[in-house]
Amino acid sequence: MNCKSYLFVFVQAAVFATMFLLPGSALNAQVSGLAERNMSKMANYQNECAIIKNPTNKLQLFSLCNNSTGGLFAARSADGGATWVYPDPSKTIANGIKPALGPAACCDPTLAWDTFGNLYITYIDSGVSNIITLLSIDGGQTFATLATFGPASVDQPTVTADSGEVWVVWNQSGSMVARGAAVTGLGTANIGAFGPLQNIPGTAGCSFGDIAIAPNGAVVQVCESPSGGVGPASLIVNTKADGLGPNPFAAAVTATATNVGGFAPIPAQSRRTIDSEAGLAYDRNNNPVSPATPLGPSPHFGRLYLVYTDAPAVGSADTNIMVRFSDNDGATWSNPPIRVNDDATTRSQFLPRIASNRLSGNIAVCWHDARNSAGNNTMQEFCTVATPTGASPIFMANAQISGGTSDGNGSNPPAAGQADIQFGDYSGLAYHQGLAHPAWADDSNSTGDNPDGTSRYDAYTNEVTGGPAAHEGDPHLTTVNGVHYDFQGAGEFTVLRDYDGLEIQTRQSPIATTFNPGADPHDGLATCVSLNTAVAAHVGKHRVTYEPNLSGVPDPSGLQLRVDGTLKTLGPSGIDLGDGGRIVQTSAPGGLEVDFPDETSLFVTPGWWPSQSKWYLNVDVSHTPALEGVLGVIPQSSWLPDLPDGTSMGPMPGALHDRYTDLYQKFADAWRVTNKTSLFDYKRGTSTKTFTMRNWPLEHPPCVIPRTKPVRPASQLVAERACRPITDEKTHANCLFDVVATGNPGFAKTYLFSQQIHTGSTTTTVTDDKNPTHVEEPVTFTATVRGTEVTGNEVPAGTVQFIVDGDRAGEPVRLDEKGQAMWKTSSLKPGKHEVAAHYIPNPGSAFQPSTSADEEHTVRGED
Amino acid sequence: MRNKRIMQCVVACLVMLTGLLPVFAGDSLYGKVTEVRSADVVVLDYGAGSYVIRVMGIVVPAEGPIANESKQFVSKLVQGKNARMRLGSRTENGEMVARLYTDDPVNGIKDVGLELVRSGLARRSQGEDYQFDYKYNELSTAEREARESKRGLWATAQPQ
Repeated sequence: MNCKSYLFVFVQAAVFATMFLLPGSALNAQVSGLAERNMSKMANYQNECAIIKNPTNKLQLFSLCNNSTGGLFAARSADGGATWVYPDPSKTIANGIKPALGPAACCDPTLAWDTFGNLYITYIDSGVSNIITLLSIDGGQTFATLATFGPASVDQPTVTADSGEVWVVWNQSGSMVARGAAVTGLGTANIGAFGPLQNIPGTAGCSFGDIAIAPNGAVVQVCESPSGGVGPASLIVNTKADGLGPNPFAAAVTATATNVGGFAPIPAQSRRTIDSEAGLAYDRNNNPVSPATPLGPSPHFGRLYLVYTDAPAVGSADTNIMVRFSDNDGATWSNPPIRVNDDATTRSQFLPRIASNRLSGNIAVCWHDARNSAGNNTMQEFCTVATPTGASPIFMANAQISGGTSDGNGSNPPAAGQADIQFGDYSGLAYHQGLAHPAWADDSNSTGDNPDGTSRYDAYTNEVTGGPAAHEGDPHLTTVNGVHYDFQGAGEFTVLRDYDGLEIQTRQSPIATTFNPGADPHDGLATCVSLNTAVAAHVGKHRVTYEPNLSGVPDPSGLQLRVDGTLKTLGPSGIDLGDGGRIVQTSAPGGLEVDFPDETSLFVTPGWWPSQSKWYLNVDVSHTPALEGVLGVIPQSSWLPDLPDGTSMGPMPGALHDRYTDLYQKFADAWRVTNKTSLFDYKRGTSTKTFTMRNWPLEHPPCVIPRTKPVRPASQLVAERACRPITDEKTHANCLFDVVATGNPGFAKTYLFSQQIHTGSTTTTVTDDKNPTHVEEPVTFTATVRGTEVTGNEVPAGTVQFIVDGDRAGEPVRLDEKGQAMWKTSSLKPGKHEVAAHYIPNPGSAFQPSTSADEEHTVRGED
Repeated sequence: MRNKRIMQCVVACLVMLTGLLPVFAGDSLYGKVTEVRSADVVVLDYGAGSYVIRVMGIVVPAEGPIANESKQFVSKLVQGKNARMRLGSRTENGEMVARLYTDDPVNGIKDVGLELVRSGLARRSQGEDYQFDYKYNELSTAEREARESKRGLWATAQPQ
């Protein structure tokens, strides 16, 4: 090396050292919301919202709230919460006008949706003397009265349904009572008579509770005692171990004490005040070990979680959200409690709600949070998620979900003697099939469509998911909680997995180089590098791989796509994997989008490296509930994601060598796939071992691989020129690193494609207004196109081409300002039809095309 | 102009003071009525403490025969009996402004404020019914019924 070369290397090293050793950015939100929705858009106020998701159809949601001017605000969504429609033009049910919409309501709506499709709606009637339960068997379009409990002095009903039971618990004349019924199928004919009133012992003066049904059928209720006063109070739990059997609820158990009484004032809710607002949720993931769910059941199947509000002292406004759990249906509870909110302030968190994703055992908690309020008197909605792995749940960093900030003046602004219940007593949360859906009262008018502006609450919701994750270039990783680190191991690794069967694996191949551009700012390691060269995934019931030729002979024409080991050609209409899973092309040459049943999207962007005759891949994941793997959540107390058994890697070691051995031996080996767990396809005689190089990356250069000619680095100038279009700061730095280290400017191209896909990707859904229809009966199909969490509130523009049974149906229809397009027809022939919609962006738009999954529509012939 | 500014300051101070007052509010509370102070103010004991409840949405005469009659009416309904209040708001002195319901084996579940208005022993407060948590015009309907039947306050052409 001559003087010029040394200088070149020195300057490059200095540039990169400066670039990468700058302090890292703060952690991004570990969960993120999409664009929030105003569900109600109604005059006057809606608050105390409940929300529920159909456990058998991830696109169907239903929400109910108090409505100040009569009835209950009611809305349903058939597209996963993107758009909301109403069972009645008044946007209400139980409004005292139409008997078919249920007896007139006072308030306190609560919801449950069982796996048979029964949607239960429970509320207090207008006389405040009966608990009404309605049943809807069509997802909230029509209603029938299922049960009326009363007359009596009643309050705070909660309905829950699971394990072949439906239960309603409420406060009656000061004590908690409950009634349950057996459920064997859809509709009233399959719902037995409600059993006798169960007086729950030890609950005199106890209220503001919740109820949950265990997977084994046991029923557990929680309430707060005393229900008056500012605190302290106790959360009382009673269990009915035999479910619908003849035995009564067992004696009360004190799950926890709390300093937040039933009427505790905080500045953010000074008039209505708050209670501890206890909530229950069971881990119901009992998946068998099978090809569809290789991890089997949740390690804590049957665990019962309790969320509540506590404070350091009675009267303190520093209220916090706490969780305890019980592994014996409420008989004993974990101690100490886990604090959910991660703020360092002494401000208020209140009105928590907990829900468990039955497919994975993940739990979500959402609440009102005043951490950003200097006066501690306004709130934003916050959420977090935890996995069931590990002895006790570790919550991800809290994420602000609401776009705006709401204050407590959104019911009736304080006028002497008028009702002014502020946010009310509770908020709503549904969590199923990957997405959590909180619902809350919001007077920020952040969506710009509240008819009362910022003076009254509307009912808001959002979709909460894991943050986007990336596994790009010389593997630069962005974990689902937004932490960046480099992972240069060689072999095949589990990068993401979840207990509902999702798994993504990547193959990383070592690269011989002569130059390392600098240390990873996350851990200070400057090792040799590797590249993603193949990806495999478990999608619903199918195994999908995208690999170079199994023969090992490089083929610059493309990678090979296999589903369940069978070679596939990906056409423009994609490959339907069932249950919402599918594979479609992206706008990048050879690019794939793999959609999972749980709403995760995996984007694979390949690039061909001619001088090395090698394919390399960028792997990006969005919208995922998966939290484990090398892209998994990094807990606050650790520097790397947890190991597969939930063990934490702990704090980062001080010595660089210890970091290296921790990362590339302990951590890498733990997440390597085995012959048993590998999802890849192999040439006969090869296996995951063939691709494993345990000693890679070498801790220090030279980065030599036997019989491989090292690549030569590129100059900084070449890299800057190639990477100029990459606008994201972190990705731009990764691009520079890769181009300099490998000398391959082609990396910039794959980064650019990934950037375009990431920032412009869309999802299209299609729904029908009725199904089935009869011959010549009109049906309207509505396509809705949405951007990603990156594009936020921007609505995609362009046209939609409807497709019926694979053929174009009419001309493309222009999207309206809501990103929707409608196609009405009465000419479908009798039989079953598959209807889809393909989004075509406007020329020059940053949005990418997308195609919906098929919507099945049946046309009945003349009977 | 100066006066207007002073008034604004006073209002702001009052608003701040309001925020510092002790607050007692919540949702619904069940207990026993231990004292009827007037037709629209009672004390509810919930076992571990008590709250002063001001019945929401009604105006009762402060004195005179109707005042006495209305207090007796309420005493008969709730004095020493179980009752439930549903919170609407609170006053500056910490009273709960609420709808009050009987829970009586004989009388059943009755809305005390509504019964007062229906009997002509109280008028409805000014404003829309829903502003007092009556979503179905119950107060207006009850007052119309009392007026048409010339009960209590409405027995004479000029109500007391």
